[in-house]
Amino acid sequence: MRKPVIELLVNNHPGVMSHVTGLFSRRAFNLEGILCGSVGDGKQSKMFLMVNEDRRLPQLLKELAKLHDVMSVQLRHEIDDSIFAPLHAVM
Amino acid sequence: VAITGQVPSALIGTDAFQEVDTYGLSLPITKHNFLVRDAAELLEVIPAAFHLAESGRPGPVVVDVPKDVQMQSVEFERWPEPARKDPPVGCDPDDIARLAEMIHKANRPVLYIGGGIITSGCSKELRQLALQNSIPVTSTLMGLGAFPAGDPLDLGMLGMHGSRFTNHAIEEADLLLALGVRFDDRATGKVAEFCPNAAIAHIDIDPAEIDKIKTSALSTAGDVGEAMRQLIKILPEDNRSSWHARLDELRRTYPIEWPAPEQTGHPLNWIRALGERLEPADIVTTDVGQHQMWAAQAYPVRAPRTWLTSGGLGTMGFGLPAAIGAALEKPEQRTVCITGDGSLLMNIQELATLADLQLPVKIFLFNNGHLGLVRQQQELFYGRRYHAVEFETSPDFVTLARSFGLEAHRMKPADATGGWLDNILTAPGPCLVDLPIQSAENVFPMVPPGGANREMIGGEIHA
Repeated sequence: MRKPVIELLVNNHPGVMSHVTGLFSRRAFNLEGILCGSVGDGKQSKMFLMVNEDRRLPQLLKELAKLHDVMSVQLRHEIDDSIFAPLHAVM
Repeated sequence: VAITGQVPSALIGTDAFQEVDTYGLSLPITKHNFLVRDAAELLEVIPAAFHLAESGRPGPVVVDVPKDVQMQSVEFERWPEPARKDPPVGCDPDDIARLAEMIHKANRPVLYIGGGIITSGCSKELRQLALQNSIPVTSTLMGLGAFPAGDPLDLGMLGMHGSRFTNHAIEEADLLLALGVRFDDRATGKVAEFCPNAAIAHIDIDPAEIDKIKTSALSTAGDVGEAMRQLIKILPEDNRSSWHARLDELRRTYPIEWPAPEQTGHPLNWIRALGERLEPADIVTTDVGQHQMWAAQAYPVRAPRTWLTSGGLGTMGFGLPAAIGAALEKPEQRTVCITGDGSLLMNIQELATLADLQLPVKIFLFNNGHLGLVRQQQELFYGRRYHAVEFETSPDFVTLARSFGLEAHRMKPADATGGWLDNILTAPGPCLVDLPIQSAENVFPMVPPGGANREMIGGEIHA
């Protein structure tokens, strides 16, 4: 079954990952996979977060949008969670 | 904004002397936090920290600065502009028009208001709105003072330790105007049974609070003061005589039962004695526990920002530092700290600060030798299996305060009447008053945890 993927545009500095993953853990929300890489001149990054379907998903998107270092939040229905498939080769 | 010191950058991660991951530690308990890696960053980080702390829904911000960054020199052209908080965000006029229509059509509307009204500084607008359409107002713990206690439209505090009348009144509402509130569990009780017949209109500055706990029929994320200013312009007048007749009936059915005056030494009587003597502009701070709930029930908070209490987090130890801060900011007003023995011990070292600064803070210590609110829960819901709620060792707080050089008195129950209280409240400088309280005394009424607000126990009238 396809899983929802959240795309974040974030400021690229060492604390951002803590802010994002900390939000997931303290709001008791599962995070199934993370892909992350810098974009443009390296001042910003894109994060793709694979999550489970959950009725609290709209609430989570609002909480993510409140993080200071998160520039934009999008639920990317059209992205296939197969973007995480190459991970299986190394695991 | 807390600016904290960190070990030098080169030692971060080496378990250096007194190194602690302040950034990681403060991450879940702040609105945002920064670890500064270069002094030049401070030119952006410091204004950003104040902007973040004050804008939108305010919150704490930590700026952690390693020692080498503190000592670093940096050259720059000019100082950055001091931060200004974002201007208030207005609401969509169409939403406000729909809201006015909802209110106009409702028969039993209730304004359910909270700390957002105080943060937004819109008590005047709230009063105008309530008066214009004769809408009764119930307040959360954090909203006390936003609407004057004792006003004919004031329903009092709702929720776990709200009055029977208030909780029954809001149960009958057909429209709940939720302004600057977040449907906290202490206010709502069992959420599914909170105001079951009411449509909800929710206005809050924080979009993440909208529809988080209760789904609203109409909602808008914006400044509640701006929303009310827009609403007042288009909302028709109404006297709502039948709704107020029904509220009067409920008021007679569920009168508040105050302890008899001869029950001297009853905590509610101490609070009422303070309430009779303090002016509306005087500031009351509380700690967390039974004394806080008694104060919320019986102290008439008549003006915004005169009631400083720790609500959602319930942080014991808040009262004394908050009183010192209030007295520094408003030295011309009296500041009273209502506290308990458990809470005061959490920040007892601040008695030294109080003695240093000689601020006019009067501490009223409701001393029952217990963590009373937890003792009460163990009595009522855990079969009286008391554990770790009684202080086997309690300090003599009067001697303790005097050892800091502070004036201190121990009162007897019989002292509840008489001139001593006036003398203490009018004397200059700090003072601690130890009030002995019966440890068996409970806060009533009480909604059992997880119960619906109508299922209150205790506090009935004894015919």
